[in-house]
Amino acid sequence: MSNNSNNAATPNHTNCDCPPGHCQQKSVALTSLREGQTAVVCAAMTSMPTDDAAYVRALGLRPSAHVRVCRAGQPCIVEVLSGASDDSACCQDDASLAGSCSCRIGLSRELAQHVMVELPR
Amino acid sequence: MTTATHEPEHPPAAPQIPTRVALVGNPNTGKTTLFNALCGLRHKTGNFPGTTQEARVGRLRHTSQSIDLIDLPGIYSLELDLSESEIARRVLAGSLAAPGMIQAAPDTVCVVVDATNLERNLVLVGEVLRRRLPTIIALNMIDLARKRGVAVDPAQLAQELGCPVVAVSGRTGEGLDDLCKQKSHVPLNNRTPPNTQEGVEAWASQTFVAAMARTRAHAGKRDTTQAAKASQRTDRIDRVLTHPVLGLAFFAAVMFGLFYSIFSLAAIPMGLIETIFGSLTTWLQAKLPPGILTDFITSGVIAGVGSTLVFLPQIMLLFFLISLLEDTGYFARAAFLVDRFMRPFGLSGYAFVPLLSSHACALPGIMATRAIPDTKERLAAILVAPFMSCSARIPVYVLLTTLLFPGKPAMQALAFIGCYALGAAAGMFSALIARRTILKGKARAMALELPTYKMPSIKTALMTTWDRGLMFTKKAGTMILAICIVLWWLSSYPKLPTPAKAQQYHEVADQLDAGTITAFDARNQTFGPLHGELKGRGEQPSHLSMLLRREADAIYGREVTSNSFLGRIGKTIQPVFAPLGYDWQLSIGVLASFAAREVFASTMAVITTGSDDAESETAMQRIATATRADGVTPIFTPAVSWSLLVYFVLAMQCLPTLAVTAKESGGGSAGLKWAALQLIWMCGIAYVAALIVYQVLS
Repeated sequence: MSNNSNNAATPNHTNCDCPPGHCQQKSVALTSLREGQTAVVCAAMTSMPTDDAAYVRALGLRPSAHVRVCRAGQPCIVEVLSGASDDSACCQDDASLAGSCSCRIGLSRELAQHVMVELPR
Repeated sequence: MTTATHEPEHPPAAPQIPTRVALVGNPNTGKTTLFNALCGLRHKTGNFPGTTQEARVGRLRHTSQSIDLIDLPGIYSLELDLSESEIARRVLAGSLAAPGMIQAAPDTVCVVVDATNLERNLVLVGEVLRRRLPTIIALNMIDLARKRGVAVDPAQLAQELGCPVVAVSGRTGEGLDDLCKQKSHVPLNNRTPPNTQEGVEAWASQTFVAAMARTRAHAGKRDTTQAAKASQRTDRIDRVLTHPVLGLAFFAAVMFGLFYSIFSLAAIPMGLIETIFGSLTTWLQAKLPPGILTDFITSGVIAGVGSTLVFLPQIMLLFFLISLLEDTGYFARAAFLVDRFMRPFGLSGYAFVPLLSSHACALPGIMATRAIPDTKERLAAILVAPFMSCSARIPVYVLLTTLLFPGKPAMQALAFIGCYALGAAAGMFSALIARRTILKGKARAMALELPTYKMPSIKTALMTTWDRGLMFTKKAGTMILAICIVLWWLSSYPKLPTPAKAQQYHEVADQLDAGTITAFDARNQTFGPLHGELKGRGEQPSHLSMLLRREADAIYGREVTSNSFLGRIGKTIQPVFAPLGYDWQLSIGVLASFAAREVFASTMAVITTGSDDAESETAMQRIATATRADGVTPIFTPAVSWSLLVYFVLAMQCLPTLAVTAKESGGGSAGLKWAALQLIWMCGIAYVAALIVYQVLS
């Protein structure tokens, strides 16, 4: 992945609730990311109320989804980049996907802080 | 145009001509645009039986076969615990049918997917496919996908999905003919996605990747530079529109522009409608013999319906502009903008769309509260939704703001916005009270899809406008007409002998016409309110005679109305409204508005007929110059007009809304209690606020 802005991230790393071996790195809350940063959504968001988690998931923020932060803060706006979950397919570079094959989701800070993401390797 | 049909691994079932096609899709996939492009105006709007969810059924125009298209609500998943998802599940299962259709599973399901957001849309496709119904995929917005450098090959996708895929564009009309042809012979799909939700999601991702990989192998690497630039542009716009200060300023400007346009642009058609109805009245009065029938047609039917229909241009313009704004993708951003302001009152941005819809009509607004996930928050939104100024209030607002600021459209627009702001403020205040007392709780955190910014579809906006305009006209032609006829009868009977003063004026006018007295003698013989008016005027006997006859008719009209059944009812209830400054005529208008608010203008038009020169003045002028029983004091003084405006902003005067509140808040006795609470609370606040306004201003 080519994303220089990720080097500037200074999130508070926490362990997410992904199945063992799913995440290669420690995860951070979506609210920790800066505008322009990309990340991968971790598995089940168990710290979020069940109904909210199901809805957020249906919107496209499901495990392995690649996201780009378009606006940090309240609301937190992210772009979910389609196809980015498969390295061999169409997306070698998340940035190149921006806007082409994606959807944009707005989240209140309260929800965004429950969405755990993993920064790209 | 690109069409792809897979080759089934097993022979399909015996060919069957589909008659019912269910249209399913994620929100913002252009489903409505596609439906409108396919069906045009040949559709009916109603509710799914036993529900309050709107159902649209249209007939395809691109085929000789009879195919009915059922437009299901936009959903992200069939499995969510939301009303839209439940409706779609039940329709696909055959346990719920759209109005006028047989209760059975649809012959074909057409899933509308957004070609620019394929991966997420494929989850819904998978949920439909695993139901084993003949399915066809409409790969919509294909033009936009190409523009963004997304090359989706329908043939490859059809191969992966095991069902036909047709690339279409509801906006440009591309591929619609092929979609219609495909719909007539859709085989059963030969792929069945997994049964678990996680399984379907994984299947969607794999299908997407496989289809895109094959497409890429054929088409080569795509150029996404333009799309990336567009995305950055959207980022910048989003930052401004959701900015706490800039975003709010933009929101205020949009709302002002919206309402100013309604006043300034609608003035011409409104004037035209008034002229047409005025000319029709004059023509009928000249052609028909004087009597009850003529009186009934001109004063009952035309005055009543005409004074309601005159507001049609403004209502249609409001729906047109709201539809345009909605189509741009702005409203989702506005929901986040208002979330921060609604949160302290115990409501979240989820309530924005229901409350905004309530500005058109509280019924769909209350229905839309089903999208609010939290039960208590939803109940609070139901209770306060009718505070939002609906289109039924527009005629009253227009009437009263025009009376308050004649010939000043900017001031009228400001007053109009003030009405909307007052309604919204009262709604928020009420929500706060409810959320701190009977519905204790915190506002739910928000998550919303933010649609791509795009140029709005004029065609879709026109369709919506036509739909709503037709509904309003039907209402004016049925319920409002019926109320007007009843009111006319109540205000015209019992018939009375001509009062002595009116008789005297007629006699003097006869003498003037005959030339047996001079204008000077005539002025000396007439007294009362007309005396001052006649002084120094009417040197021409014919002119004086005309003035005398007009005043005689006015005296007679006031006498008849005052002693009519309606007058007696008005005088009985008038003490209740007396502290608010309303006379018995206004009390009747307010009382009749409990059946439907729009009736107010027509009620006042019917009541005030005869109190002035109905032949030469429009309904609006007649109402504006209407006087109380003394014939001198105007009914609509500034204090009364303001008080009335505040009353109409805040009062609950809509029986259908109460019925829907009862149903949506749980039904049965519990629902009735919520509806009763809504009625008492809103009318109580309205009365107190109107009382304060009148007492302060008078």
